[in-house]
Amino acid sequence: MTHGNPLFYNINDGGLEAQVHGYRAGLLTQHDYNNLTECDNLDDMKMHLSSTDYSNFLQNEPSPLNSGVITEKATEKLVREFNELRFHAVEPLSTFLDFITYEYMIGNVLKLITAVRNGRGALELMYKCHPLGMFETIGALTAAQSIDDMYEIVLADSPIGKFFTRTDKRDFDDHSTEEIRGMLYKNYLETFYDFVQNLGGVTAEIMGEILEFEADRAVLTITRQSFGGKTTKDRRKMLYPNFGELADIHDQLSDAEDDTYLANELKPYPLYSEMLRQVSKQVSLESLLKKRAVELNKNAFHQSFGYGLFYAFVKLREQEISNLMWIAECIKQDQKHRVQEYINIYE
Amino acid sequence: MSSNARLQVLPSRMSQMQMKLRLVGAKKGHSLMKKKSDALTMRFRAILKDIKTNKEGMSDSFRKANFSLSDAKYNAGDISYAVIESAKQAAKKVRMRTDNVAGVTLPVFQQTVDETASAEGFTNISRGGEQIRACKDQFDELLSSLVQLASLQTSFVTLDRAIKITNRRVNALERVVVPKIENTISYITSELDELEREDFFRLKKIRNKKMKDNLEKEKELKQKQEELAAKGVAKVSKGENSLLGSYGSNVDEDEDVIV
Repeated sequence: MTHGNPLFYNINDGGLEAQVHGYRAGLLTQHDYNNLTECDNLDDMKMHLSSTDYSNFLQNEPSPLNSGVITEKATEKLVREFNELRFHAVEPLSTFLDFITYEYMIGNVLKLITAVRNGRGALELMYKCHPLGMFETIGALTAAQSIDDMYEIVLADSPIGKFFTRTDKRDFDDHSTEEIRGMLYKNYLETFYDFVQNLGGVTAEIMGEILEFEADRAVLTITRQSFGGKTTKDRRKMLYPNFGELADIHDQLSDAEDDTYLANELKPYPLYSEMLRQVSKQVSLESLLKKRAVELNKNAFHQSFGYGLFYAFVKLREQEISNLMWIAECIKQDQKHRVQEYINIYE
Repeated sequence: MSSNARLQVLPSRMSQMQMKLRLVGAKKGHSLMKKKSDALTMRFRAILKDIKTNKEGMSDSFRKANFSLSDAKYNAGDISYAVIESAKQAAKKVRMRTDNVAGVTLPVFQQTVDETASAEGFTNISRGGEQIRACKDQFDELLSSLVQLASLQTSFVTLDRAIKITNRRVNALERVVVPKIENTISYITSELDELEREDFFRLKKIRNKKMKDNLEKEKELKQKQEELAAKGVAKVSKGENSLLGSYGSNVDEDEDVIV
């Protein structure tokens, strides 16, 4: 197997890896964030952003900016960069990059499913779909009248069809859209994990760590969000991805009904129990998990000869876009005292 | 309104009595209306105070709610499509009942929550659920204070109108109706006095006339006596006595004559 062998890695993937490193250098730094948080209005933000890697991405936007436009344009930039990588990639990196897009595809398909479920035309939702999650046949989904149709005609053959086949098709009727999302995401994580483990080498090492964390993150979020008996134990367990650090205590976690119980179960895992301890009214578990994810993604850049950094770059850029949105919202809504709550990427 | 306006009535004892009754009624009505107006004004002020505090809190709640939405967006991505798609039926409805203040019915809005229609489905299990729930709570709070404010505002407008009407009535009673009745009463009294004086005058005239007539008769008598005296003195002296005596007794008997 050539993958993971430093001797051959650069033949196919070296150029792209260098390019990602270049992109990474374009991520906003602490200095940039400081400047941005000092802005009084969104036009100031635009000005500051023009001196960064974003340069004149807002040039053609009329003056009353809003955070939506900034997010949209920043996402366009991310998509442009990603597609550049994707077009130049060869196997197995191309498959790896496809895997990154599957997550967005799942999100898009679910949006359309919700629309069809509510008897709404899916067409109007098309424009709301994430551009990274577009696939060729997604347009055909809008023609489907029912979810069964959707599955039979389009989804089964689409790139994410494999995630559907692993769940029972009948799921559509029995579960809420959110549960379907959970199951698809679980299948996605498991498949992705298998894939990187098969690749082996540095990729397996770095991506394994990231994906295991993502799995644990999903487990923790699902558990905590379903306190209060809205999701039954079986359903909860069904949504837990079957790997990750917390895999051993899935049974116990599916029983958890409050934070005390959860904290007790998490005792053997210092990382998570520490996180849970820090949760307060001001600090949500969500943001702690996010910080951890950013940390892991940053680490991915420390090692060469692996694909981890491609994934990490997309995630970091995505976080950066969220941060921009947060700062823009804070400035627009005059909530400067909370502006510092964005997740710092590079200190 | 001219100050001596009065009602069109026949000045008589009976209409005087009626007017007096009407005056008492009008004064009672005035004091009652005044009390009602005071009660309404008191409530009005209380509502005004409530509206003020409520509105002051409002901008803050709006800001908070909108910001919590940004927070949810930051954590969970764009949730608007999911919210729009999952909302089918209003979970919160406003019911109206009425409140009674001094005879004025005020509308009071009450928020009722239909738990079954509440769209919880999508919030739960995925990322950002925590923030979405916080956002939902914020907007719930905002909605209920909005409903409360709406209720207050409607009461405010209704009360305002009621107070204006009541005050107009109070003023009308005080400035128009009561003076008018009072004028009428004084008019009737003066007319009655006038009549009395006229009667008195008439009687006086009658007495004078009668006295004049008597004097003339006396004169005539005297003349006759003198003529008769020329004929026979003894007879006349007797007749004179009787005539004077009869006049004096006439005065005593006639009750209408006031001396």
